[in-house]
Amino acid sequence: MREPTGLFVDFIRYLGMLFVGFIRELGCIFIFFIKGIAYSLTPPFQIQKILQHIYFIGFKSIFVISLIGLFTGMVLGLQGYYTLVKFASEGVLGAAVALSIIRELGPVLTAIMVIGRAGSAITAEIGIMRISEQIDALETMNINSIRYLFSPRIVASLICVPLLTSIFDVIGIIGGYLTGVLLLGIDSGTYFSKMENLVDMKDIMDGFYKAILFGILIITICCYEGYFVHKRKDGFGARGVSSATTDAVVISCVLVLVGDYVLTSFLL
Amino acid sequence: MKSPLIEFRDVHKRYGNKIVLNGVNLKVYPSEVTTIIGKSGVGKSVTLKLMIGLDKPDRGDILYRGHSIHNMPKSKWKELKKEINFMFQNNALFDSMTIYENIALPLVETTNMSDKEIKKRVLDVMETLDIAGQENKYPSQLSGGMQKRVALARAVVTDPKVVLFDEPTTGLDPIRRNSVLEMILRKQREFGFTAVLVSHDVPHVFYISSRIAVIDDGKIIFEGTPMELENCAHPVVHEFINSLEFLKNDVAGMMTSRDFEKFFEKIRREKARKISFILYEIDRYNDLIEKVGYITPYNIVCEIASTCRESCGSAIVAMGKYGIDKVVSVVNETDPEKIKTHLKVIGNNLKHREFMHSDSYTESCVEFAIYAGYTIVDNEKSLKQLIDEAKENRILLAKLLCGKK
Repeated sequence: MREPTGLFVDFIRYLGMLFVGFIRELGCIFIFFIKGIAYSLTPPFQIQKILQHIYFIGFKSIFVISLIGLFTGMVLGLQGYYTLVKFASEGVLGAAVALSIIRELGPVLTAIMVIGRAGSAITAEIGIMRISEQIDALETMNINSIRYLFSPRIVASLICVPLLTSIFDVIGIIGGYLTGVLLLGIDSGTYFSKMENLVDMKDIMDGFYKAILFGILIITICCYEGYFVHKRKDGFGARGVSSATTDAVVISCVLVLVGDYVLTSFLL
Repeated sequence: MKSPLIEFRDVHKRYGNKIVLNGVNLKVYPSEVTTIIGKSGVGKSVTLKLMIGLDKPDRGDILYRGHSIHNMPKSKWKELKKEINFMFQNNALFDSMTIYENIALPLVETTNMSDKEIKKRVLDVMETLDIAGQENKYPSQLSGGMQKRVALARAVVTDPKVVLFDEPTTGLDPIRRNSVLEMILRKQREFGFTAVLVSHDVPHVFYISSRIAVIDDGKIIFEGTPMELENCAHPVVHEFINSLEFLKNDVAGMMTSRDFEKFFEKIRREKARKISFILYEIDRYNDLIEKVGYITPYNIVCEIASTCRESCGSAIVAMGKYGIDKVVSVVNETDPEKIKTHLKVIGNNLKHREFMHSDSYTESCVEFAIYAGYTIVDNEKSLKQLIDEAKENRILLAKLLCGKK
């Protein structure tokens, strides 16, 4: 039978190829993730390496996360106050700030900061290791490169991102307190009591689940992009690493926002 | 006869549309140094990567100790792979780790040795390879030669049974190149591992190799000892092992004896052509080598060739080096008187060259003579007969006596 041809058919074929490529890529990322998790659950456990990555992904991000959290809380305090005052509801400012931060802004902004600070560095580091044959060297030494490079990072990320998110939440609430209470004169007791009344454990857990999901997404994408930099069409030399890093950041940010929407719609 | 440790059976590998290996058959024997040579991009490094399992062949089989590495259970291959280590062309050292951490890494990650044992083992290997005291430096702080030694230390620290070296001497100066090759041989004898080298350093690698394999066009075109290689008639092998000589001859505008013979056979059959054969010969060439080494005598041969070109110009049809002390040429001239005149001019020109001055040889008393003989080319006679005839008709062009011209 003759194969159909023509511009429209070619276009459909091209779309089909793109879709198949996308699905294949998703499958590869998923297998990569499963391998990383499986190796992290089987001995030998790499405690020292996990601690090193906790230090890099977590501890070194505390300052920037705190700074962003503080200003986010302060802006929310200001904006929230001027909105709520129109409804004579400025008393619920503390709850509004806390809910916005705990449920949405905390996990999302923390994830984006981790992508920018640690994720990009991880992609670049692993990408350079790939193009300079250091990953091949690991394999020739009988060292499982996914276990060595990815597993400790995903464990560290699963520990760090929720913790960083909680730091962001607390600092953000303090930021809201600074503008709402100290600057705009809302009663301190009202700020915290409304928060206590309106924020329940489910809100905190929802934020926590998001932080875990984002932690997985960020490190999986960033490690994957670096690890397979040589499979890219432009995966040669410094340019390959730079475009892999850019892609890792963009894809991670997009996935964080998409994941946020999907998870929120399930959790609400 | 020994059975091979590693064996390639009809291995094919392609990347995209490019066929890299097209039916490679290769045997690597235990405790030997096997060197794979070939032009750039013919698949030497791919062969090594297939050997250690970094890549898989599209077709064919690779056997390790008689077992197919791609059909054996993963756990068994993992165990066997511990016996093999790899030294990368660009060393592939971990640039954010110290030298100590680089060398210790395979021990830390793949053994249950205590820190104390690891430290002792690493320091011992570093001591043996003359890189002691560099433990806390980073790879970028070391010279190229030292980085090679660190890479070698990392490759041998686990006591592997097989070490694969991917162009270990590329980019090194001649002194470091020789020291790296010498180091590989010394360590191979000391540690007793089987070494497989990929190298371009011909003929230097021949001195340390037990076996040579030449790869070209995706196939192994020669496999044997260095001595067998020298007698191999394959043109690619011939070109490879004489590459340095070819370059020197090209620079002097001379063909190799093999090329000259081919060219001469071709032109002598051109019916309308009347040509003569001229032989230039340096007398006492071996004495000259003994007194002044190899370079000056070779330069004299080249100077003879260039003087002939200057003096005879367009009359020269071909010129080649024949043996170590002879230059042969074919000229478009059959008049004996004119040829003699040409030779006299050449002789006069040679007398004024620097190498014909005794002051040029301050260290020793040098004596040699340059003769030239000619004969009209007769199509019935072989090249050897023509050379003999030319020798009979030879005249003295220039002579240097000890202290006199």
